[in-house]
Amino acid sequence: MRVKIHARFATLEDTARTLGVPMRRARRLLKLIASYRSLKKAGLSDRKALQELDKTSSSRNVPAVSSNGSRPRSKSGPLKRKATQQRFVSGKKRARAKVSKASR
Amino acid sequence: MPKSPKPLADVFLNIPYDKPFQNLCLAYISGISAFGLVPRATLEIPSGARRLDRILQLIQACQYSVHDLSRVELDAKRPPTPRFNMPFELGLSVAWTKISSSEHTWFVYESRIRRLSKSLSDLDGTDAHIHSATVKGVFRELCNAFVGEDRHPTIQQMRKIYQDVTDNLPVILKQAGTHTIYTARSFKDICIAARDSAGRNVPISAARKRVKRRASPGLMQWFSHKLSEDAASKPSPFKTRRFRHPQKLMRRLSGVEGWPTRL
Repeated sequence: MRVKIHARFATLEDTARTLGVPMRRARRLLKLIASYRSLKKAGLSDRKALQELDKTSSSRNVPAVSSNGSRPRSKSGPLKRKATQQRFVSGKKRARAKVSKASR
Repeated sequence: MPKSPKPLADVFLNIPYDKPFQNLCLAYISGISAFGLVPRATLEIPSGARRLDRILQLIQACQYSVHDLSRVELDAKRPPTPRFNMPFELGLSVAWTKISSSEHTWFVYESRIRRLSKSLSDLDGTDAHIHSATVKGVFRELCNAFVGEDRHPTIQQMRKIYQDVTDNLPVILKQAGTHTIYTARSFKDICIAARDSAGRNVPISAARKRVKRRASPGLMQWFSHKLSEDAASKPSPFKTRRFRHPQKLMRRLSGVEGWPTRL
Protein backbone atom coordinates (compact mmCIF):
# COMPACT_ATOMS: atom_id res chain seq x y z
CA MET A 1 0.00 0.00 0.00
CA ARG A 2 1.29 3.45 -0.91
CA VAL A 3 0.13 6.57 0.85
CA LYS A 4 0.26 10.04 -0.62
CA ILE A 5 1.47 12.54 1.91
CA HIS A 6 -0.95 15.43 2.27
CA ALA A 7 1.31 17.53 4.40
CA ARG A 8 3.82 20.24 3.82
CA PHE A 9 7.54 19.57 3.79
CA ALA A 10 8.67 20.23 7.36
CA THR A 11 11.11 23.11 7.69
CA LEU A 12 13.89 23.19 10.23
CA GLU A 13 11.74 25.37 12.49
CA ASP A 14 8.84 22.94 12.21
CA THR A 15 11.04 20.00 13.09
CA ALA A 16 12.62 21.78 16.05
CA ARG A 17 9.24 22.92 17.36
CA THR A 18 7.70 19.45 17.01
CA LEU A 19 10.60 17.80 18.80
CA GLY A 20 10.69 20.47 21.48
CA VAL A 21 14.20 21.66 20.66
CA PRO A 22 14.86 25.38 21.10
CA MET A 23 15.64 26.98 17.76
CA ARG A 24 18.77 28.54 19.16
CA ARG A 25 20.17 25.15 20.10
CA ALA A 26 19.25 23.71 16.72
CA ARG A 27 21.08 26.51 14.91
CA ARG A 28 24.10 26.14 17.16
CA LEU A 29 24.19 22.41 16.45
CA LEU A 30 24.05 23.00 12.72
CA LYS A 31 26.82 25.56 12.95
CA LEU A 32 28.91 23.06 14.89
CA ILE A 33 28.21 20.38 12.30
CA ALA A 34 29.22 22.75 9.50
CA SER A 35 32.53 23.58 11.15
CA TYR A 36 33.14 19.88 11.88
CA ARG A 37 32.48 19.11 8.23
CA SER A 38 34.92 21.77 7.08
CA LEU A 39 37.57 20.41 9.46
CA LYS A 40 37.00 16.93 8.09
CA LYS A 41 37.26 18.26 4.56
CA ALA A 42 40.63 19.73 5.46
CA GLY A 43 41.81 16.18 6.07
CA LEU A 44 41.61 15.88 9.84
CA SER A 45 40.62 12.61 11.46
CA ASP A 46 37.45 12.30 13.56
CA ARG A 47 39.36 12.65 16.82
CA LYS A 48 41.47 15.58 15.69
CA ALA A 49 38.45 17.39 14.28
CA LEU A 50 36.58 16.96 17.57
CA GLN A 51 39.62 18.23 19.48
CA GLU A 52 39.81 21.28 17.21
CA LEU A 53 36.13 21.95 17.77
CA ASP A 54 36.68 21.70 21.52
CA LYS A 55 39.47 24.25 21.29
CA THR A 56 37.44 26.74 19.29
CA SER A 57 34.39 26.40 21.52
CA SER A 58 36.43 26.73 24.74
CA SER A 59 38.34 29.77 23.43
CA ARG A 60 35.07 31.70 23.44
CA ASN A 61 34.79 31.30 27.22
CA VAL A 62 36.73 33.59 29.52
CA PRO A 63 39.89 31.77 30.59
CA ALA A 64 40.59 31.34 34.29
CA VAL A 65 44.19 32.46 33.83
CA SER A 66 45.30 34.33 30.77
CA SER A 67 48.12 33.11 28.57
CA ASN A 68 50.67 35.61 29.92
CA GLY A 69 49.98 34.58 33.51
CA SER A 70 48.12 37.69 34.59
CA ARG A 71 45.01 37.42 36.67
CA PRO A 72 41.69 37.69 34.92
CA ARG A 73 39.79 40.95 35.30
CA SER A 74 36.78 39.50 36.99
CA LYS A 75 37.38 38.68 40.62
CA SER A 76 37.01 35.11 41.72
CA GLY A 77 36.84 33.24 44.99
CA PRO A 78 36.33 35.07 48.31
CA LEU A 79 37.33 38.42 46.79
CA LYS A 80 34.51 38.26 44.31
CA ARG A 81 32.02 37.19 46.91
CA LYS A 82 32.97 40.08 49.16
CA ALA A 83 32.90 42.66 46.40
CA THR A 84 29.56 41.66 45.03
CA GLN A 85 28.06 41.47 48.47
CA GLN A 86 29.14 44.98 49.36
CA ARG A 87 27.82 46.47 46.20
CA PHE A 88 24.57 44.61 46.61
CA VAL A 89 24.04 45.71 50.19
CA SER A 90 24.58 49.41 49.56
CA GLY A 91 22.22 49.27 46.62
CA LYS A 92 22.82 52.88 45.57
CA LYS A 93 25.43 54.96 43.87
CA ARG A 94 28.25 56.46 45.81
CA ALA A 95 27.21 59.81 47.26
CA ARG A 96 30.55 61.42 46.56
CA ALA A 97 31.01 62.47 43.00
CA LYS A 98 34.21 63.37 41.31
CA VAL A 99 35.14 66.94 42.14
CA SER A 100 35.31 69.05 39.03
CA LYS A 101 38.26 71.30 38.27
CA ALA A 102 36.12 74.45 38.43
CA SER A 103 34.97 73.90 42.00
CA ARG A 104 38.48 73.14 43.28
CA MET B 1 -8.04 35.41 1.48
CA PRO B 2 -4.67 33.84 2.16
CA LYS B 3 -4.59 30.08 1.85
CA SER B 4 -3.98 28.33 5.19
CA PRO B 5 -0.76 26.33 5.22
CA LYS B 6 -0.95 22.56 5.03
CA PRO B 7 -0.50 20.76 8.34
CA LEU B 8 2.65 18.92 9.25
CA ALA B 9 2.79 15.15 9.47
CA ASP B 10 4.73 13.17 12.04
CA VAL B 11 5.78 9.56 11.82
CA PHE B 12 5.80 7.40 14.92
CA LEU B 13 8.91 5.26 14.69
CA ASN B 14 8.55 1.94 16.50
CA ILE B 15 11.93 0.24 16.25
CA PRO B 16 14.26 -1.80 18.47
CA TYR B 17 16.79 0.25 20.40
CA ASP B 18 19.92 -1.84 20.18
CA LYS B 19 23.39 -1.39 18.76
CA PRO B 20 23.07 -3.77 15.76
CA PHE B 21 20.01 -1.80 14.68
CA GLN B 22 21.78 1.59 14.79
CA ASN B 23 22.40 1.85 11.04
CA LEU B 24 18.83 0.95 10.21
CA CYS B 25 17.54 3.46 12.76
CA LEU B 26 19.61 6.19 11.09
CA ALA B 27 18.29 4.99 7.74
CA TYR B 28 14.70 5.31 8.96
CA ILE B 29 15.34 8.84 10.28
CA SER B 30 17.06 9.88 7.04
CA GLY B 31 14.37 8.37 4.83
CA ILE B 32 11.50 9.87 6.78
CA SER B 33 13.19 13.29 6.83
CA ALA B 34 13.67 13.05 3.05
CA PHE B 35 9.88 12.98 2.69
CA GLY B 36 9.58 16.13 4.80
CA LEU B 37 8.06 14.21 7.70
CA VAL B 38 9.14 14.50 11.32
CA PRO B 39 10.24 11.24 12.98
CA ARG B 40 9.00 10.70 16.53
CA ALA B 41 9.91 7.91 18.91
CA THR B 42 9.31 6.77 22.44
CA LEU B 43 12.90 7.81 23.13
CA GLU B 44 11.57 11.34 23.56
CA ILE B 45 9.41 10.21 26.44
CA PRO B 46 11.05 10.32 29.86
CA SER B 47 10.60 7.07 31.75
CA GLY B 48 7.99 7.23 34.49
CA ALA B 49 4.74 5.84 35.69
CA ARG B 50 2.69 7.53 32.97
CA ARG B 51 4.84 6.25 30.15
CA LEU B 52 2.04 4.27 28.54
CA ASP B 53 -0.22 7.32 28.44
CA ARG B 54 2.46 9.33 26.79
CA ILE B 55 3.12 6.62 24.20
CA LEU B 56 -0.58 6.72 23.39
CA GLN B 57 -0.46 10.50 23.12
CA LEU B 58 2.49 10.25 20.77
CA ILE B 59 0.69 7.72 18.53
CA GLN B 60 -2.40 9.93 18.48
CA ALA B 61 -0.33 12.96 17.50
CA CYS B 62 1.25 11.17 14.54
CA GLN B 63 -0.44 10.72 11.19
CA TYR B 64 1.68 7.71 10.25
CA SER B 65 3.42 5.00 12.17
CA VAL B 66 6.20 2.68 11.11
CA HIS B 67 6.56 -0.55 13.08
CA ASP B 68 9.67 -2.62 12.59
CA LEU B 69 9.06 -6.16 13.83
CA SER B 70 12.39 -7.55 12.73
CA ARG B 71 13.69 -8.04 16.27
CA VAL B 72 11.68 -11.07 17.29
CA GLU B 73 14.62 -13.20 18.38
CA LEU B 74 15.38 -14.00 21.99
CA ASP B 75 17.94 -11.60 23.44
CA ALA B 76 21.29 -12.72 24.81
CA LYS B 77 20.69 -11.48 28.34
CA ARG B 78 19.34 -13.96 30.85
CA PRO B 79 16.54 -14.87 31.08
CA PRO B 80 16.25 -15.02 27.27
CA THR B 81 13.06 -13.24 26.23
CA PRO B 82 11.79 -11.63 23.06
CA ARG B 83 10.96 -7.89 23.09
CA PHE B 84 7.22 -7.32 23.22
CA ASN B 85 7.29 -3.53 23.08
CA MET B 86 7.12 -3.25 19.31
CA PRO B 87 4.18 -5.63 18.73
CA PHE B 88 2.43 -3.99 21.68
CA GLU B 89 2.81 -0.49 20.20
CA LEU B 90 1.69 -1.83 16.83
CA GLY B 91 -1.44 -3.09 18.57
CA LEU B 92 -2.03 0.34 20.08
CA SER B 93 -1.66 1.95 16.62
CA VAL B 94 -4.06 -0.53 15.02
CA ALA B 95 -6.60 0.06 17.77
CA TRP B 96 -6.25 3.82 17.42
CA THR B 97 -6.78 3.58 13.64
CA LYS B 98 -9.96 1.56 14.19
CA ILE B 99 -11.57 3.64 16.91
CA SER B 100 -10.53 7.16 16.00
CA SER B 101 -12.08 9.36 13.38
CA SER B 102 -8.73 10.96 12.56
CA GLU B 103 -6.62 9.44 9.83
CA HIS B 104 -3.80 7.28 11.02
CA THR B 105 -1.92 4.93 8.74
CA TRP B 106 0.41 2.23 9.99
CA PHE B 107 3.04 0.25 8.17
CA VAL B 108 4.75 -2.98 9.21
CA TYR B 109 8.39 -3.58 8.36
CA GLU B 110 10.24 -6.87 8.60
CA SER B 111 13.69 -8.05 7.65
CA ARG B 112 12.73 -11.56 6.54
CA ILE B 113 10.03 -12.57 4.15
CA ARG B 114 7.14 -14.72 5.47
CA ARG B 115 8.37 -14.51 9.06
CA LEU B 116 5.57 -12.13 10.06
CA SER B 117 2.90 -14.68 9.24
CA LYS B 118 4.58 -17.00 11.77
CA SER B 119 5.36 -14.46 14.49
CA LEU B 120 2.12 -12.45 14.24
CA SER B 121 -0.46 -14.40 12.28
CA ASP B 122 -3.21 -11.93 13.28
CA LEU B 123 -1.77 -9.64 10.63
CA ASP B 124 -2.31 -12.15 7.83
CA GLY B 125 -3.40 -10.26 4.78
CA THR B 126 -1.32 -7.23 5.67
CA ASP B 127 1.54 -6.49 3.31
CA ALA B 128 4.71 -6.20 5.34
CA HIS B 129 7.57 -4.19 3.90
CA ILE B 130 10.64 -6.44 3.78
CA HIS B 131 13.86 -4.44 4.08
CA SER B 132 16.27 -7.42 4.37
CA ALA B 133 18.06 -5.64 7.25
CA THR B 134 19.86 -3.30 4.86
CA VAL B 135 19.95 0.49 4.67
CA LYS B 136 19.09 0.36 0.98
CA GLY B 137 16.19 -1.96 1.75
CA VAL B 138 14.81 0.52 4.30
CA PHE B 139 14.98 3.34 1.74
CA ARG B 140 13.34 1.18 -0.91
CA GLU B 141 10.51 0.18 1.38
CA LEU B 142 9.95 3.75 2.60
CA CYS B 143 9.60 4.75 -1.05
CA ASN B 144 7.08 1.92 -1.43
CA ALA B 145 5.08 3.20 1.53
CA PHE B 146 5.07 6.97 0.98
CA VAL B 147 4.55 9.22 -2.00
CA GLY B 148 5.65 12.79 -1.55
CA GLU B 149 3.42 15.52 -2.84
CA ASP B 150 5.93 18.33 -3.29
CA ARG B 151 9.14 16.39 -3.35
CA HIS B 152 9.88 12.88 -4.49
CA PRO B 153 13.10 11.80 -2.84
CA THR B 154 15.14 9.19 -4.63
CA ILE B 155 17.15 6.41 -3.02
CA GLN B 156 20.34 8.30 -3.91
CA GLN B 157 19.12 11.44 -2.16
CA MET B 158 18.17 9.41 0.90
CA ARG B 159 21.59 7.78 0.81
CA LYS B 160 23.17 11.25 0.73
CA ILE B 161 21.21 12.32 3.82
CA TYR B 162 22.17 9.09 5.56
CA GLN B 163 25.81 9.68 4.67
CA ASP B 164 25.64 13.23 6.03
CA VAL B 165 24.11 12.03 9.29
CA THR B 166 26.59 9.19 9.80
CA ASP B 167 29.52 11.50 8.97
CA ASN B 168 28.38 14.02 11.55
CA LEU B 169 27.40 11.46 14.16
CA PRO B 170 30.60 11.85 16.28
CA VAL B 171 29.99 15.55 16.81
CA ILE B 172 26.27 15.02 17.51
CA LEU B 173 27.01 12.35 20.10
CA LYS B 174 29.78 14.41 21.65
CA GLN B 175 27.45 17.38 21.88
CA ALA B 176 24.84 15.18 23.57
CA GLY B 177 27.49 13.70 25.88
CA THR B 178 26.67 10.13 25.01
CA HIS B 179 27.92 7.16 23.00
CA THR B 180 24.55 5.91 21.82
CA ILE B 181 21.95 7.32 19.49
CA TYR B 182 19.17 5.96 21.68
CA THR B 183 18.84 8.88 24.04
CA ALA B 184 16.28 11.65 23.84
CA ARG B 185 18.77 14.38 23.08
CA SER B 186 20.85 12.53 20.51
CA PHE B 187 17.69 11.32 18.75
CA LYS B 188 16.37 14.87 18.45
CA ASP B 189 19.74 16.22 17.31
CA ILE B 190 20.00 13.50 14.66
CA CYS B 191 16.51 14.39 13.44
CA ILE B 192 17.52 18.04 13.13
CA ALA B 193 20.73 17.17 11.29
CA ALA B 194 18.78 14.88 8.94
CA ARG B 195 16.20 17.57 8.28
CA ASP B 196 18.92 20.08 7.47
CA SER B 197 20.51 17.66 5.04
CA ALA B 198 17.11 16.83 3.48
CA GLY B 199 16.50 20.51 2.82
CA ARG B 200 19.76 20.67 0.88
CA ASN B 201 19.55 17.32 -0.91
CA VAL B 202 15.89 16.88 -1.83
CA PRO B 203 14.79 19.60 -4.26
CA ILE B 204 11.20 20.42 -5.15
CA SER B 205 10.20 18.27 -8.13
CA ALA B 206 10.02 19.85 -11.59
CA ALA B 207 6.32 18.96 -11.90
CA ARG B 208 5.54 20.84 -8.71
CA LYS B 209 7.47 23.85 -9.96
CA ARG B 210 5.38 23.83 -13.15
CA VAL B 211 2.15 23.80 -11.11
CA LYS B 212 3.39 26.72 -9.04
CA ARG B 213 4.29 28.64 -12.18
CA ARG B 214 0.82 28.02 -13.59
CA ALA B 215 -0.71 29.37 -10.41
CA SER B 216 1.02 32.71 -11.00
CA PRO B 217 -0.78 35.50 -12.99
CA GLY B 218 -1.80 33.62 -16.07
CA LEU B 219 -3.81 33.39 -19.19
CA MET B 220 -7.28 34.01 -17.76
CA GLN B 221 -6.13 37.06 -15.92
CA TRP B 222 -4.49 38.40 -19.05
CA PHE B 223 -7.70 37.97 -21.06
CA SER B 224 -9.86 39.58 -18.39
CA HIS B 225 -7.52 42.55 -18.49
CA LYS B 226 -7.68 42.66 -22.29
CA LEU B 227 -11.48 42.46 -22.35
CA SER B 228 -12.00 45.15 -19.73
CA GLU B 229 -13.11 48.50 -21.08
CA ASP B 230 -10.32 50.56 -19.69
CA ALA B 231 -7.58 48.19 -20.81
CA ALA B 232 -6.10 50.83 -23.06
CA SER B 233 -5.79 53.37 -20.28
CA LYS B 234 -4.36 51.00 -17.70
CA PRO B 235 -0.87 49.59 -18.01
CA SER B 236 -0.71 45.85 -18.35
CA PRO B 237 -0.05 44.16 -15.01
CA PHE B 238 1.79 41.35 -16.74
CA LYS B 239 5.47 41.57 -16.93
CA THR B 240 6.01 37.86 -17.04
CA ARG B 241 8.06 36.52 -19.89
CA ARG B 242 5.34 34.21 -21.16
CA PHE B 243 2.82 36.95 -21.83
CA ARG B 244 5.08 39.71 -22.99
CA HIS B 245 4.10 39.05 -26.60
CA PRO B 246 0.30 38.63 -26.64
CA GLN B 247 0.21 38.79 -30.45
CA LYS B 248 2.06 35.51 -30.63
CA LEU B 249 -0.41 33.96 -28.23
CA MET B 250 -3.37 35.28 -30.27
CA ARG B 251 -1.90 33.84 -33.43
CA ARG B 252 -1.64 30.47 -31.77
CA LEU B 253 -5.20 30.61 -30.46
CA SER B 254 -6.73 31.85 -33.73
CA GLY B 255 -7.10 28.27 -34.94
CA VAL B 256 -9.43 27.36 -32.04
CA GLU B 257 -13.07 27.10 -33.07
CA GLY B 258 -15.30 29.89 -31.79
CA TRP B 259 -12.40 31.99 -30.71
CA PRO B 260 -12.79 35.69 -31.54
CA THR B 261 -10.31 36.84 -34.16
CA ARG B 262 -9.95 40.25 -32.53
CA LEU B 263 -10.16 41.35 -28.93
